[in-house]
Amino acid sequence: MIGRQNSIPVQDQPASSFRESRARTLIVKVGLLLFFVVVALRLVQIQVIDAAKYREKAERQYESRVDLPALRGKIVDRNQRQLVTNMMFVSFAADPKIIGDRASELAERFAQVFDKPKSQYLEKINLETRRFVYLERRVSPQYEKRINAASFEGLVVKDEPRRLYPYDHVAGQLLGFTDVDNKGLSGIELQLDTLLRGRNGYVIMQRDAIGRRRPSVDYPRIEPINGNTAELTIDIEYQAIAEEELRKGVERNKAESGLAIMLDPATGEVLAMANYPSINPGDPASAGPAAARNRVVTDMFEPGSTFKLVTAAAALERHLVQPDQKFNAEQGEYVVRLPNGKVRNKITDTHKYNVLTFREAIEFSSNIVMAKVSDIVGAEALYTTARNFGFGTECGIELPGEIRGELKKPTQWSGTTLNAMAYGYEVGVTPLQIATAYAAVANGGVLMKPFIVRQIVSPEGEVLHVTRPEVVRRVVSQATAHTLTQFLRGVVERGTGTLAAMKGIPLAGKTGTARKFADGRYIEGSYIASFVGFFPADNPAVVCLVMLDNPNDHSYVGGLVSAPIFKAIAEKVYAVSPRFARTQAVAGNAAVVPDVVTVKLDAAKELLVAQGFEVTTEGNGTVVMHQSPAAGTKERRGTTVTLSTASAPAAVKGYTDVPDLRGLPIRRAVNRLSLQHLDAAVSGSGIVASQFPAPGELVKTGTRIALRCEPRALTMVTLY
Amino acid sequence: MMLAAIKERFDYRTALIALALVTIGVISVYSATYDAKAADTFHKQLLFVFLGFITMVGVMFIPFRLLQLISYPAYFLSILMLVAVLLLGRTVSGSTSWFTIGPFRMQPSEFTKITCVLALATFLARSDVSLRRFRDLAIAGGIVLLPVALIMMQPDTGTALIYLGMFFPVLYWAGASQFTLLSIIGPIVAAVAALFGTTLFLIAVVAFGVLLYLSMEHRIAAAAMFSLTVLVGISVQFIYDGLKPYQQKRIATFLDPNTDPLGAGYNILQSKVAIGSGGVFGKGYLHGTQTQLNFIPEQWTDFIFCVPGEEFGFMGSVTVLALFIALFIRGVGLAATVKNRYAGVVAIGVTSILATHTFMNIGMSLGLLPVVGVPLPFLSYGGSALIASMAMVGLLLNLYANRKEY
Repeated sequence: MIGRQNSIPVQDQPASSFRESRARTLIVKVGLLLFFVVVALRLVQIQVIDAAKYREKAERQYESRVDLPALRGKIVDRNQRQLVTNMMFVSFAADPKIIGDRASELAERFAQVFDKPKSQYLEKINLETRRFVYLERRVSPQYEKRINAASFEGLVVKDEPRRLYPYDHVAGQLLGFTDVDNKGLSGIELQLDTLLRGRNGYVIMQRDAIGRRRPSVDYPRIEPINGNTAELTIDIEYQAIAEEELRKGVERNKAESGLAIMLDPATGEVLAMANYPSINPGDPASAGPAAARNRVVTDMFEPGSTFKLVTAAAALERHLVQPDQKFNAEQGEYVVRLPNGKVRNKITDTHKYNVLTFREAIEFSSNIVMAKVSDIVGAEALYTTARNFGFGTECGIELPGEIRGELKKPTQWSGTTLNAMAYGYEVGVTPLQIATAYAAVANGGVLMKPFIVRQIVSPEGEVLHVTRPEVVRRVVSQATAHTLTQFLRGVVERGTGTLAAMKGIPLAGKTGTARKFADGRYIEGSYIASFVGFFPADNPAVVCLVMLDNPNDHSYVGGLVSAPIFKAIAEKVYAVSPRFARTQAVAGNAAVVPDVVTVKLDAAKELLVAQGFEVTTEGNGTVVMHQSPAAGTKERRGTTVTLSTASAPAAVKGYTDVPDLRGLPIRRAVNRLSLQHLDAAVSGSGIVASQFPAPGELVKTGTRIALRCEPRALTMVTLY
Repeated sequence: MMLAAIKERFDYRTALIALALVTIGVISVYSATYDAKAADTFHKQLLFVFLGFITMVGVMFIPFRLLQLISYPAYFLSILMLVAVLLLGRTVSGSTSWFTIGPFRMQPSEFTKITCVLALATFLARSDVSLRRFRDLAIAGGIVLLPVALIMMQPDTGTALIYLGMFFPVLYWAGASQFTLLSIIGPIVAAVAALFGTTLFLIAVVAFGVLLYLSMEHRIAAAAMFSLTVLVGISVQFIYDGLKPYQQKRIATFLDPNTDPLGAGYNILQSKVAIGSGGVFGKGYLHGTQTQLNFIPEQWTDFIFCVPGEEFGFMGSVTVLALFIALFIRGVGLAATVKNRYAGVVAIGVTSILATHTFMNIGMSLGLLPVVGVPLPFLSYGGSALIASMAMVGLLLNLYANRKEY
């Protein structure tokens, strides 16, 4: 270009260039600052204003959360038989983006292993818009090996435990079921959901730039916490017997449905709770919501004659009527008139009697006599007695959807209510309420709160909760209870319940036939037939209620329809259960002696007293070393349990017996050893599977006892 | 007294800023290589830092006269090396810019930047040279364009651009006329503007015209220059249309990386995601997810700015930026202070080189500029670049010590 020839070199005139130089410096510095401002503004835009957007982008890129499923807790019966457990399944999912050009190979492998067309898989893998497609869901874990999942980058294998019900439909309604995500939806599964559920763990997987997943450095791996085991009071054998006999009975009598309950009257433990038709919780889709209801607690019935127990109790307890007091039975038809002579209502009996004693009125189930008795008892006393037996309030059992029934206050009664209620009408009850009321009589007049959850045990074997039998109240005196029991024995011996009578087993019971009430009116020709009773009558071990809804064959009467079912159940229970052999000698008001060895003395005392035992102590230690009677035996309440705090009995100085630790959780086993000044060498984890030296061997104190532990068997069927 | 004497001879502020930047660089390289199976990268960088400091101190103590004396020979030597590297060099990622010496590789173009500045300064400092003369301007241009041409043959566009980024401020500083400066910058601006679209191109042309008019130059020359600029701008469109599709795509991605998020635009998007997700306070050292999971390939080289950006957030990135600006302001201040013209040009040249590097690199990391591979001075991994940067700091320190020499 054209430079001016006359221009003067800068350095030749330093004085004048001084200002120029300063301006130049300023311009350059301002230019630099301008750049700085531009870049800084850009930083503000990216890092402050749009930060959330970029953060989200980043997270989408690098993070994905993989759940580590917690195993839902098991449900076992009182004998540790597994009613609900888990089975492991796996699901295969693919990340099409990472699979990339191995799609064909992967589809081929799946097609081979699962014997399905290759195109089906290829289609899914080629869904490029998605980062997660299921290829197979909930299949046996053995497929994982056959697919050789580890060889495919981008193939995700998800563990998916699923509920397994080894007894299929047995106790279906009681146990309930879960949804696909293993969340309890009904029954015990719902009621104890939070305890059974456990907590899923997770790992945050990070995706690096080429899409490989790897555990994050930032987030700790959160291990899953498995659910607790729920031990029920149910005896699955009783349950199975009840359901089987119920099924036969319902079918034989062409009934709509049926239900049965068994309770231990001394404790309130529910031994069985059956509904028919049954549902299989493993396949809940097969049953509608109505069928899934546990009607023992969710439905209300008019009880009919079984409620006469309450009327009788009210009369006897107040000494208003003597057992042998005679009543005019009116030849089966009793017209109740108002003071002005108008007919108020008419009460009828199935069988016509001239005169009946009070006792006979129960035995032969006379509505007329019971109505007359109620007139003597009065509204307030009948109401109070019904209330005391637990009617009109929830039993408080650990089952979802329990209703309280309907027991109106006398002020709300109509003119007919007193008489009607005397033989079981105008009152709404749940089957469980009936059963617990009879259990109170069987228990010498003391009402126990029914319960179904015996204890909750953590996955580590620690007992988190034990349900103690709970006395609700004394309803009637022991004497009244005794008289009522005699009445009920009469029912079976000569009254309406003779079909329930068993050879050699004294039985007390009551029949009931009630017209079925639905949608605000009685349904013509539709009945609820029931039988409730307890055996052995002189030392009641089991209270049982059988109820059929709308039997439609040869009869609808409780004594003819339900009594035979009751008998069949009772006989089979008697046959299978060793507990009768042992407990027959034990008085009715009995309880199982809890295991308090290695428990602190104060706590042990509290535990035993709570169960109704007396306690004496030996020795001056603080921890129970020995107890008598032994744990697990059933003893009458009030029995004295001797607790010894001295070191093991018959111990030679410096020597001790090796205790039996098998089956104990590690912590307890070690605890017990330390009490006897023994050391433990533990291998494995879970519960003690075997030990050396063997139990009972005499060893020097300080000896190291080797314990080989194994994880608690997860399930009996997870093996493939 | 002693301290004051040291302060008089030693520009400790500049030295401290450089030290701070190098420290941030070491920390960042460690983080970027921490989980990327590139641990030896970090160890090498530590060695480079050591060598860099030795170089800095060495350059600082070169006698001022000797520095002037060796400027030309050093320039020619480095040009020879650029030729040699084309013939004997090793090709890395498509560019033949490396010598392999034992376990180390050396990139002569990094050092030619310095020798080029020294040569340019020596030439412009001659009392008989004036940039108002076309012959002298052409010689000055030749000094710069010779290495640029050789580097473009490697090819290494980024490094070549650095020379231009240095040349312009040096011309301005050395007293080139406004017209000269406009003539150089005009066509470049017009071409780039044309790529972005007609509107921008028209604005650029009009602005250019006004500035040319204000420069009060020879009318005919101004008109000729203006025409040339317009011609360049228009021809860009034709050249673009004549390019092969993949080349067009590359340019389009240059301009808007979002058009190809998995291809050429990948780095720039990932870089923005990394920096943006850092937010105001960052994710914490070694906790930058994007950095640690290597979303940006070889982040420790050209995208090192993402590390402070992601892990220390806005606070971190602004701190780094502020340190650089402080360094440059000091460089310019030094250029204005020195009594010697040669020293002034060297100061402004060295500062310009570092500044161009910095703005091109950070601009690229933030998506303000197209992706051209230039390292961020002091922070990026790389021996040649780090040692060259430290040598430049050494030069600034040397000039400061000799600022009163004529």
